[in-house]
Formats: sequence, structure tokens, C-alpha cells
Amino acid sequence: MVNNMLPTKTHTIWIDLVTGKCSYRCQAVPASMMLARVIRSVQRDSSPENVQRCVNEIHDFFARYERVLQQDINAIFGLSH
Amino acid sequence: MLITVEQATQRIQAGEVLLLAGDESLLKQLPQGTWIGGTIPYFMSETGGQCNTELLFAHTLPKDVRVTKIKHYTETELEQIPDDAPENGFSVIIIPATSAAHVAYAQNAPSYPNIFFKPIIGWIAGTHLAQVGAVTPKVFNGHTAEMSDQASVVMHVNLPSDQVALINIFNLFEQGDGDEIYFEEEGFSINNCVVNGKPYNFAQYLLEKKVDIKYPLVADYCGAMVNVSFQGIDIENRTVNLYAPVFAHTAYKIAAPIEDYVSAFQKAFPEGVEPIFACNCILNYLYSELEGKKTGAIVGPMTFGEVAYQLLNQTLVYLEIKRV
Repeated sequence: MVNNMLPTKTHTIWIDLVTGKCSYRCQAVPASMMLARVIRSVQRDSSPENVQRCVNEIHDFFARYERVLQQDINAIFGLSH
Repeated sequence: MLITVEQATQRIQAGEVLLLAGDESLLKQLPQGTWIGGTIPYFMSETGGQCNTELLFAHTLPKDVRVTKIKHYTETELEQIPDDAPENGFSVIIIPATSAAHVAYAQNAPSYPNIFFKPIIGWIAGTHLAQVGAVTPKVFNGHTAEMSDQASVVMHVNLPSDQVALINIFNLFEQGDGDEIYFEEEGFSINNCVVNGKPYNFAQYLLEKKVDIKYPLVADYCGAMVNVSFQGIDIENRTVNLYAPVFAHTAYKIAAPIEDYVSAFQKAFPEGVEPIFACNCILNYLYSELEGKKTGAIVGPMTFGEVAYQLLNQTLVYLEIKRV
């Protein structure tokens, strides 16, 4: 498996993820629940401020667990090309 | 493993870190030490599923972990749990069923700040099914010897830097191919729902569709299947009572039917995992007729609800430690 670096917060994939535009089913349980949480949050409040807050949150989550979420990170990064 | 009160006492006095489950009268006899416990008499043990009020179930944590805190959290303190958890480690929570903490955690945990940033696993304490409503479930803080039927108890555990805690769930159920159901009201007792865009009384919908409420509602959380189990339908009040809350903005479906619940559960049971903690739902115990049947390396209490970050139903949850 090729290890990709985590995309930066400015990468559009993160907005696609939190708005549900890019539908992705995670392998790891915490990643699934975290992603579902931010998607629900954006469904409740789709303001640019909340979308950015959710992008920050999901990015920080994947950055924190980069070592153990490589499978999901590789798949998400692959989706962005 | 199942052990006697005397064996548990010896282990506590030897300094072992224990996660305990058993009858209230047994847990009350234990000395102070580094342990937490909750009441339940149903277990998946190495010798098979059983109801036992004379033995305690013990998970012993590895020697290289360090317990940083054991604390009761009331319903208003629960959101502090991630703040109190160590930077690298995990937290184990036990909550008395039907307590204020149970309701608060079930409804609010998914929105607690940083709840998914630090692993938290655990279970809902219960009673013998014949005593539901007559005896309150309890949790115990071994450090202080305090017992509660309203607050949760949490053990925070630090791991060495080359280890990481991973929480997994095993769920037999997938979403069926039936109607998509949404709820505008959140909670354990539901009157109304929206099915394929049309409003319905949820009780009436279930009765008209002849839904077998042994099968849970299932939501797809971006890959993780999250169940909400049915407690019953109150026909008089046109209300559906659930074992976990449903949430707005979430699509639910009735679980896909399983022809042989018992063999399906046993066939799909995960193999090759080495959990340091696990628990399984009392409904799986009942519906899968697990009494007397072995479930491999995954042993632990059969509970009134499972916690993998948030409250789950009809799900097996387990915790593994991985080297990184």
C-alpha cells in the first residue's frame, strides 16, 4: 500500500466530504462516526463558517490518527484525483 | 474470565487493573483498588454464554498501561470525559441503565466536543431480566468504593507511545432494502416519522408493515452500521419505545432479515482478534440463543447497551491495542 500524505485543509476534498458531496464509507469505526458527525452538523447548519469549522475538525481528526487511518486516508486522497 | 470474589480480591490486592461485571452483592464485597465495575449477570465466557450470579467477569488490563483517573460523571459532567482522557490511551465507561447519565449520554454523546478524538468504549449496566424495574443497575468506582445508580463511572487509561487503542464493532445487521425512515423528534420514545417523504405515526407504520421488531433500525454512519433496537410498541399511546435514541437528519432502515439468526451470528463472528475488552448485547444473547454456546476469544458481559464512542444496540464492541 502506498502511504499518501494527508491533504491540506484547503484541499477541496474536505469540503466535499463534510457536505456529503463525496460519499465515502470509512473502514475504521471512529473515522466513520466522526465523518457522520460533521456531515450531520453541516446538514443542520450549512453556513460557510460551520462548513469551515467541520473541515477543521475532520482534518484535525485524520491528522491525529494518520498512523492508524492510512487505509481510509489513502482512499480519500485517491478520490480527490 | 469468570472468577470468584476471592480471586478478584486477590487480583485487586496484587495491584492488577480490572474491569469487572457481576451481581451487585458480589461487587459490594470487593476491596478498594484500581478497578471499575457494573452490575449484570449475563456473560459470554470461555465456556459459553451463561447467566451467573455467583461469579464475576474480569477483564485484566495489560501491565504496561497506566490508569490516570477513575471518576464518576453525572449527566451534566459527561462531556468532560474527553478532556480528562489521556492524550494517548483510552477510556472505559459503565453507565447504569435508565439512569439520568444513560439518557444524557445516549442523546448527547455524538455531539460532545472531541468525543471521537479519544477512544471511549464501555457498556450499560443492567440487572437480571426478571428484576428489571424492581432493582436499579449499579456502577462501582473501585478507587473510592463508591456505588451509583445514577452517575456513570469512567476509567481513563494511558498507553505507552508505541501503542494505540482501536475500537471495533461487530454488527450482524445491515440496512434492508425497504423504506427510508427519518425522524424529526429525537429520543427513546417516538410518535412520528417520515417515510419516503410522507409523515406517518411510527407505531402505525410498524404495525401496518408487520415489521418484526426483533430486527433493529439501522443507520449507515459513513460505513459503520449503527443499530437502534426496539423495546416495544405502545399501541394505546401510539408510541414506539427504543433502547437508544434516534437522531434527526439520519436515514434509518429496518435491518435486512436474517434467515437463521443463531448460525448467522456464529458464522460472522470475528476471528483472529485479541481484544483486551469486549462486551455484547443482551438482545444478541437472547435472539441468538447464545446460552451455552461459545464465541471464541471474544468474551465479556452481555449488556443493556454498548458504547463505542456513542451508545449502540445489538452490537458487539471490542478494544484492541496495536503497536505503531
